Amino acid sequence: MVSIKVPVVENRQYPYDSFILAVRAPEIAQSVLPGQFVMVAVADRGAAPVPLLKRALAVYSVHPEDGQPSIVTFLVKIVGEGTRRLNSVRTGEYLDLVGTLGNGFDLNRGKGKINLLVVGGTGIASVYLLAEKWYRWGEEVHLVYGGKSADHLIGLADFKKLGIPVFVTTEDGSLGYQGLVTQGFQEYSSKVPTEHINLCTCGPNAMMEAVTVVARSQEIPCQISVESKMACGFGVCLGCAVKTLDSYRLACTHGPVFDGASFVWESDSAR
Amino acid sequence: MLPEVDLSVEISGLRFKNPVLTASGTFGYGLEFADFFDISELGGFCTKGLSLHPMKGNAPGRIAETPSGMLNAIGLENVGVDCFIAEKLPLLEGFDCLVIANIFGKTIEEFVALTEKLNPHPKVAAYELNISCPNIKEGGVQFGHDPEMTHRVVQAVSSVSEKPVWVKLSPNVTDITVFARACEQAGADAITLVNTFVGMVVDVHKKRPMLSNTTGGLSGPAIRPLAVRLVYQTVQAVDIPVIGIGGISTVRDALEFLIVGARAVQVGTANFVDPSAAARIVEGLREHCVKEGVSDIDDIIGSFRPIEEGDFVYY
Ligand SMILES: Cc1cc2nc3c(=O)[nH]c(=O)nc-3n(C[C@H](O)[C@H](O)[C@H](O)COP(=O)(O)OP(=O)(O)OC[C@H]3O[C@@H](n4cnc5c(N)ncnc54)[C@H](O)[C@@H]3O)c2cc1C
Ligand SMILES: Cc1cc2nc3c(=O)[nH]c(=O)nc-3n(C[C@H](O)[C@H](O)[C@H](O)COP(=O)(O)O)c2cc1C
Ligand code: FES
Repeated sequence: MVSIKVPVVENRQYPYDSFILAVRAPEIAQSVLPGQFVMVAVADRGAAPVPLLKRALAVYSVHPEDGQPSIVTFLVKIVGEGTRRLNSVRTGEYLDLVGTLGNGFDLNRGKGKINLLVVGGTGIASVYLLAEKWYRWGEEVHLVYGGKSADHLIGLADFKKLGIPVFVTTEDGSLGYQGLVTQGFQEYSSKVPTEHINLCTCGPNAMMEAVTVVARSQEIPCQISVESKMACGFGVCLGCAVKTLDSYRLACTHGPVFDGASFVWESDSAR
Repeated sequence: MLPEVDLSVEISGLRFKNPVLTASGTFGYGLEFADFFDISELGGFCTKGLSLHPMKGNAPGRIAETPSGMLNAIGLENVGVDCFIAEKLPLLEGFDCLVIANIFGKTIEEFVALTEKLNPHPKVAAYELNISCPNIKEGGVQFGHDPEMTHRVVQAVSSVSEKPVWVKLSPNVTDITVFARACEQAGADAITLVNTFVGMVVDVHKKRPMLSNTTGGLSGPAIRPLAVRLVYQTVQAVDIPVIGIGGISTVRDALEFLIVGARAVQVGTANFVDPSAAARIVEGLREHCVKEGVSDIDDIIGSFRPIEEGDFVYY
């Protein structure tokens, strides 16, 4: 784990308030595991910065320079002040990073399986390294990726370039299957014998919850990458607790990847 | 070579190599920060609040960011004193900085039992009694919001303690000096303040509180002026040392507390914003002293010049 100041090498804007930030951070690039994240803020923000806390961002992809892993990218959606500030940084400006954080996905679970990545919206940021890793290992990996419209599907081209099968859903039908990603997932997974499926999901809570409900009922193993408000990101504030069947767990150190079978959703208590 | 500056301070019979400590609940059990800087550079640190038995804390929604601060309602989640002694304390042996055990009980008996369990362990330099946590229903504030109860718990712990006893006060009272005096009379060796200010944030879409506990404790730069004033008042009211806490993120902030008379400071929320904040403040204090031609930090502590009759201030 390091706390470092790194230069921004690119900030590329995408439709619908999304952007991909690339920074030169060899320390992170060389150590990051699929599903891990970093706490990020604009550097040199002064004594009482606005906003105060760093923001948790998954490492989207890693790229080499001179043959060594060096560039790290974040795929971000603007939702409030922190992400808006990050969106305004330019090439040559600096970010403060604390990382690499979190447990990441359990890669061994994917061996010899049909790995289905079921992703909604910005959740795509957490699974590119995972797809890449399994693909390189020669494991079978498929992406089911849903968004509001074709233009919302940031990063789609990267997965296509990787050469893995991609099943797209859009709410407005502008690309692929018209409907929600959860419907797309059921449609897609029905073609495969469930005992061969290994599921990983990341996206809005309601979507992940729906996916885990299906996974539980069909006894499909399912890893979920969850979000929780974080102050530190490395296990000291105890602020990011989430609920699992046994106990509260910290999203930043025990997670952000949890087993879907034992995760307790907000509406589980009402069920 | 920079001229030598003596940053060390004496508090309750203990010599701290500098007046910068880290605050309970913001520094884990110390070890978590070893990746970021050598924690031996600190004067000392306060552990996460320890209870007799492990506590699982409050349900999620535990934190919410606010302008220049944050609310927390962790609910004193901790590993429990036995696990701390068995698993955390041995790992701290290698670090040359004083460890203050922040302890909290639901009853006076629990406070006493915690003290007795920690007494035999030389790595624990002092106790900090948390009688001021706003986030649990029993214990905590029950002691911190009633001067009579404050007196009783401090006296009980002092009578069995083999180490200095510090008491951490709640700012959520009408007159903090009443509580500071109660601590002093009951035998406390030092006072630390402030703990967090009770606050609340509402999610306007869900029309529900942001925190599962409904209310939480406010910390961070937002509370600094409130804390400085309370520390200033407390310093006037008691003869025992006072340790200042509240929104400290820079050396300038730390100096405010030292100048009004705090013998040391604790850095809290700033550790989340920048994990090396406390080390940066130690270094900054040294540079400040050199620049100001001060050879001993004691010359800064309490150097405050109050406004006298007829004075006014221009900038
Ligand atoms: C492990 C992890 C990985 C993440 N990866 C990405 C990513 O790759 N790309 C991306 O766009 N977003 C990601 N997020 C979500 C991102 O952290 C939030 O969108 C961001 O913190 C919002 O900050 P804000 O100031 O723009 O929004 P505001 O809503 O103004 O933030 C208010 C407060 O709530 C917190 N907060 C708000 N939304 C979230 C959220 N969804 N998760 C956690 N904290 C939140 C903020 O940190 C802040 O403290 C991730 C979150 C986590 C926990
Ligand atoms: C997340 C969090 C957890 C805390 N836990 C404790 C605790 O266990 N015991 C305690 O005495 N104070 C606790 N505090 C209070 C801090 O030690 C400190 O008094 C307070 O945060 C004010 O300082 P700051 O503004 O520098 O953070 C906690 C504060 C925060 C933010
Ligand atoms: S974010 Fe601080 S403990 Fe997880």
